[in-house]
Amino acid sequence: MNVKTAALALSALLSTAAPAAAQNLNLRVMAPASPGGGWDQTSRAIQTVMQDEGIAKPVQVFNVPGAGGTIGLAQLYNSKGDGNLLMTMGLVMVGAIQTNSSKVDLSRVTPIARLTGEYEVIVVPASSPYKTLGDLATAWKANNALAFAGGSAGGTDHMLVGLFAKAAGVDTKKMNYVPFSGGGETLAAVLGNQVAAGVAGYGEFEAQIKAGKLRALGISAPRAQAGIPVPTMKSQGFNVDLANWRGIVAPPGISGSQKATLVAAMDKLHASKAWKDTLKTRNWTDLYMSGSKFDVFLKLEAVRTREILKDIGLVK
Amino acid sequence: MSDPTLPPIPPGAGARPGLSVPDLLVALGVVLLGALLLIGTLQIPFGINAVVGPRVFPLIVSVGTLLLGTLLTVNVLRGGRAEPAAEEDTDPDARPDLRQPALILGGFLLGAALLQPLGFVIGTAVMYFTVGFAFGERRAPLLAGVALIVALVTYVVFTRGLGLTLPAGLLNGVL
Amino acid sequence: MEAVTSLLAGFETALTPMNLLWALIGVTLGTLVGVLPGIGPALTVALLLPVTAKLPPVSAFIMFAGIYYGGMFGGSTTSILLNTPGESSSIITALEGNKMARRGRAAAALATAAIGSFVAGTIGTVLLTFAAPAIAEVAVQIPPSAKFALIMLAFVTISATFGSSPLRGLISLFFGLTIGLIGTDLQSGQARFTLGRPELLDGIEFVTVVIGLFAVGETLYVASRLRKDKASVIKLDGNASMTRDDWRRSWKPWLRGTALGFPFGAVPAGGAEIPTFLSYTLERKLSRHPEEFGKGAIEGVAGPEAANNASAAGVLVPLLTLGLPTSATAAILLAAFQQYGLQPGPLLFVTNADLVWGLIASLYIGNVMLLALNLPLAPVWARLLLIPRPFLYAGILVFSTVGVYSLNNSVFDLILLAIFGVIGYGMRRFDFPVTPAIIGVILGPVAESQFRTALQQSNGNPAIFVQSPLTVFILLTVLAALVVPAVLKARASRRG
Repeated sequence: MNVKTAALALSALLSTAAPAAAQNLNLRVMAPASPGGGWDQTSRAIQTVMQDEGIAKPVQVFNVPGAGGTIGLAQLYNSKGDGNLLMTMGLVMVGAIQTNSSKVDLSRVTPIARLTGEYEVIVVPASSPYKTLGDLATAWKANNALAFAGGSAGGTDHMLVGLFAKAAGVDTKKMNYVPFSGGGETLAAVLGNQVAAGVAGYGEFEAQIKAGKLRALGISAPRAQAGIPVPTMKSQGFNVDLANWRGIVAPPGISGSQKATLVAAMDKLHASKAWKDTLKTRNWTDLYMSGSKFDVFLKLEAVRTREILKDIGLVK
Repeated sequence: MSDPTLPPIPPGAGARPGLSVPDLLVALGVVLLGALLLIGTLQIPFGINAVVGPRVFPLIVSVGTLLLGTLLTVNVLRGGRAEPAAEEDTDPDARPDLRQPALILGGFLLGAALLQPLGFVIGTAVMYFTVGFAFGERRAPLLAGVALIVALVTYVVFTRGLGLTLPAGLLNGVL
Repeated sequence: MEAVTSLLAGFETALTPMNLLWALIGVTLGTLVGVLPGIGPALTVALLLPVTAKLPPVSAFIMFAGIYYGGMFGGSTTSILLNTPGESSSIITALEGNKMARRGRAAAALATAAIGSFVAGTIGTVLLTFAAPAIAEVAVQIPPSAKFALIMLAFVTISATFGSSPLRGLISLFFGLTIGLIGTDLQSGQARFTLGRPELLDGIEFVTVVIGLFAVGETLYVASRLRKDKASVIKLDGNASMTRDDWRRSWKPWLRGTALGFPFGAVPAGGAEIPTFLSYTLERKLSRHPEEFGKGAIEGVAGPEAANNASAAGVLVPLLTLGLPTSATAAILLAAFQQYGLQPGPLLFVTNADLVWGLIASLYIGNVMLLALNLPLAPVWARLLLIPRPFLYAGILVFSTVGVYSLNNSVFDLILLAIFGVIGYGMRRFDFPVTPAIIGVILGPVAESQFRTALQQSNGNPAIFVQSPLTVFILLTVLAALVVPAVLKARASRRG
């Protein structure tokens, strides 16, 4: 029968993950998004590397999509004290908590580590008159209605435009931000000359930048990035530093030793060659940070996000 | 399109005398939906600077619903009534028996409630059984057996084959 | 020609036994997941992403493409047999296809869907081979105002097409629009009609609405007035395959469907739905048997099925040439490219020619495999309908439950499914057509976002709707679709 053969072929495929020296740490990783998205890919990459390297086994990934990850976050709260559960999260969730007025926030979860991220770029069509970020800022100040395309309202792209507006001296309440639901529509709007500029993660524009169809004016990284021939926003006098980072947290109320075990597992993951290879092929920037440094970072990021979202009028 | 002996009623023209109370309730229901939508629309905050705000389309939809509901109410008051759809497996002359759909709905909600505590297999087997029963199958052991097998096969194919996570419940550790 | 030599090289890559095997696995898997409601090619490819990390990229993409095309083929099966469309692109197929199946013509409906898919898929692939870069350049230039105008065209033609009166069709459409409004407004970030439930912030998945209104609603309705005298199974027509007459009535809709579907696939946010809706109304207008529509007209299966497969080929055009994903599956395929460190776009044809051309060649092969797989299967699938009704309807409900539950792993969605089931029952009881509601749910949000994007880009200048010749042309067509039938009616009544 057909169903059977395909099911068999698939289960054979699924079990190709090589067995390694298993330890007694078994983990469940929640991806608070649908399969295929950034958090899901991160979770599954963690699963593969941890199992292959024998850091933990078995590692199970499950999806709890919805509301920018806040549905998954609420579920994490229900598993208070579970030392074998992790959740992938990131800047988008920090923002969604604010914009959705979520009942749960990140103040009580147990931060484990920040793993990867991607910097944002501001691009214009190749035929655009703007050659530098300064040109764009000058034109923007003269005409607040200049259209910027990016992802949905309140997301990382929108935040970056808000930060850029502030740095350029443009009223954040008057800026003309055109949100798209993703799926490459931002790219299409810029390529089709329908907006003045577009904002997205570097990866989304990379091919077009290299092909010369788009001009990247600035990247939101603190310093120049290897292999990315785009000047930083900072180097052009705009003090903007924003990474669309992804990290890992555990449920509230786990014990100190449980937290230490999880942090150690992430440290091991980060140190492994398999993880370095994964970062390289996927073009993910290594933004590793664990333990108390990540605790502090998470708090600061929550404050900063709230401030930006207030400036652009999304949060009262 | 429904019953060949009764032509569909054009709007505004009553084909049969007498007021149909269920039809009137449906028409008033549409009006009520429109009104509730309108109230809800006026509570949407404006958000970021935008040319067309978040209220414009809800406003169009709610006013449209109110208008259409009013038209339908007028139609019904003038004697219009709906003809139930004719499906291949239905008997247009039979008296509708609401106990069967109620049974299916009850079974479905019970199954949904059991899905997480007792597991996917038990939950969907309950649903399968009630639908089969409501459709007139009275050989209970056979139906229960088929229900369990269908649920189990579905569970295995989806979890093993596609790697989906479905609640295991009682089967936790067994499969 | 350069494309021909590249394509031949591509066939060399794709015709290795290993890659043929992956193509076969892909199309088989794709057909299967297409058959299951709610589980589509996008989810399948996403779930397989980590597994395939160990495959060479060419093999992985050949399999993914097989899943994608296979899903489009398989999606029609449940629509036709069980009136349970698993993908938004096969909703229209259910309308006539299921009516045909109920009349015992399931095999013919499945056959015309399979052949139509093959014809459309192959023509689409040819266009992809020889004209991809040029098409992609044009596709990104389509402004939001034109897309908005197209959706208006779909609304106007659709609400007039379904139901016993335009009033009831419109109420159904507005109900769909209402459902589509629920959730966070993308443009402003504000929650609308969510009643304070976080589960509603992302809106209601159309799969829940479609399965609730179609499958659950019908199950409840049929149960309430079950025909007791009839044999408990549907009789199969002795004439299982397509007759000469079926062929004669199918080939033009196949070609017209392809012509509609392919460009929509290539346009960002174009999608597979609008062309299937338009194809259906077009075939209904052009058919010599308009009276059969609503009772199982084969044209109503052939056209939309060709349209949705052609759009699948169209989607690959901007994906490969620009790195621009225009559908959910394409977005996942893009993620798959990135997993291998590849960046689709203008340079991919240069840097990874063997991969791209191997992939394109595999599409031709996949299409042939799918036809070979699906055509003989059609009568086999049709025999599913021989299952006694209690078991058949129970099975439909269980399948629906899995599909909806697996969307978000949440029981909340099942409660919604039950609510939409009750509404679907009510709509059948009170003579409201279901299809306009579904169209409202799917296209309402797109219409709103395109309209607002157009005005946001022009900073509020409404002239944006008359600046593009394309937009003006479509808006004039909308106007004609509104006015012409009314004028004709008035003239007819004056004469009568």
